[in-house]
Amino acid sequence: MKDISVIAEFPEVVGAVLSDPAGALLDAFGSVDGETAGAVHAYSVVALSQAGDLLGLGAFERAAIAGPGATCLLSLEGEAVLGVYVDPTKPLPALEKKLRDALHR
Amino acid sequence: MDTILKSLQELEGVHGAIVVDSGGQLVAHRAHNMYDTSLLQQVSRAIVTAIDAVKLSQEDWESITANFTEGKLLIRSLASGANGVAFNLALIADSRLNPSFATVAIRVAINKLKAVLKTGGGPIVHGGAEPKSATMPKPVAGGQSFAQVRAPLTDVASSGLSWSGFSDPSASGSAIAVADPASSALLTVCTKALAKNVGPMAKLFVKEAVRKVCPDRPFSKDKLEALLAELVKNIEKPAAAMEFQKIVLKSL
Repeated sequence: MKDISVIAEFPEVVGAVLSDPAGALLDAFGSVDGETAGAVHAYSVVALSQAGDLLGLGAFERAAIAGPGATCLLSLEGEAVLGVYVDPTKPLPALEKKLRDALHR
Repeated sequence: MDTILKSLQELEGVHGAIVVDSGGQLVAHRAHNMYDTSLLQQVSRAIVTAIDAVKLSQEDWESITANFTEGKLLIRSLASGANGVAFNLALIADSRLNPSFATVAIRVAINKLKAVLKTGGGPIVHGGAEPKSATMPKPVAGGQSFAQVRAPLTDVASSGLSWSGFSDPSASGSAIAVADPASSALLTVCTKALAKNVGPMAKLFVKEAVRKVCPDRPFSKDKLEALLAELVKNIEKPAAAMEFQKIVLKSL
């Protein structure tokens, strides 16, 4: 299982939640309600995957959910669902790459 | 609205653009023929399920950009319509989509869609440009407002219906006539009964069915059986289809 503490020191990261595919909390840090967020992330990934399946877009890889208050980056880390909350004012593509590099190093 | 969705579909890598309401109903779409209306309706429900979940932790979400191994799904929140229903725009794309161009095009489209939704005006067109396509979404009569299209089912079912629009060639290509007042009244009964199952699209479905069963002459009551056979195709549940026919036949 991935150790999400490797991204905890990034200044852009507000918090992160790792949950299993059923939404059960595996790990979390930062100012995020891990129990709720874990379930929400897993459920969202299931629904988005379903939409992707129907449209023939292939397997779900990641998603960015943006709003004025927060941006959440969802991704699949093996069997687990990782949701990383980041500063919404930071440029997303560069940050996504930085996170991927750190998690998959 | 169709023009707005068409401009999005013309972007390289875009396979389709859809507008979905907060209830999971497909409101308008412009998509490649491989995506039929029924499939896009299923996609709409999946999208709204995802949105509903996201809202539990991010009530103020504005966009969801999902990446898949073979494509992308870009979902954007739109303004609430004149009747208070929230709407979302979704773009189906492959890897050729240029993110920068897409961002600009989507922003432009969102502004236009918000304006349409805010005023409750502008026609809603369910579909692509190819009128003969099997996946051709159903066209809506010209001039029908957004608020009318999205009116609650009960509004349509209980309101008075005028068939004068049938003779309007702008309604979607060809004029339709009714033979006599009794036939006109029968169409109204059909529409109200159908609206209980399919909502505000009922009148459109009735018009389309009339065109099919009476392509070259005014509709008259003797064509009712053929008309019913066409209309029940729009009702998913057999029991509801039976009930619909019962209501219409009872009115005779």
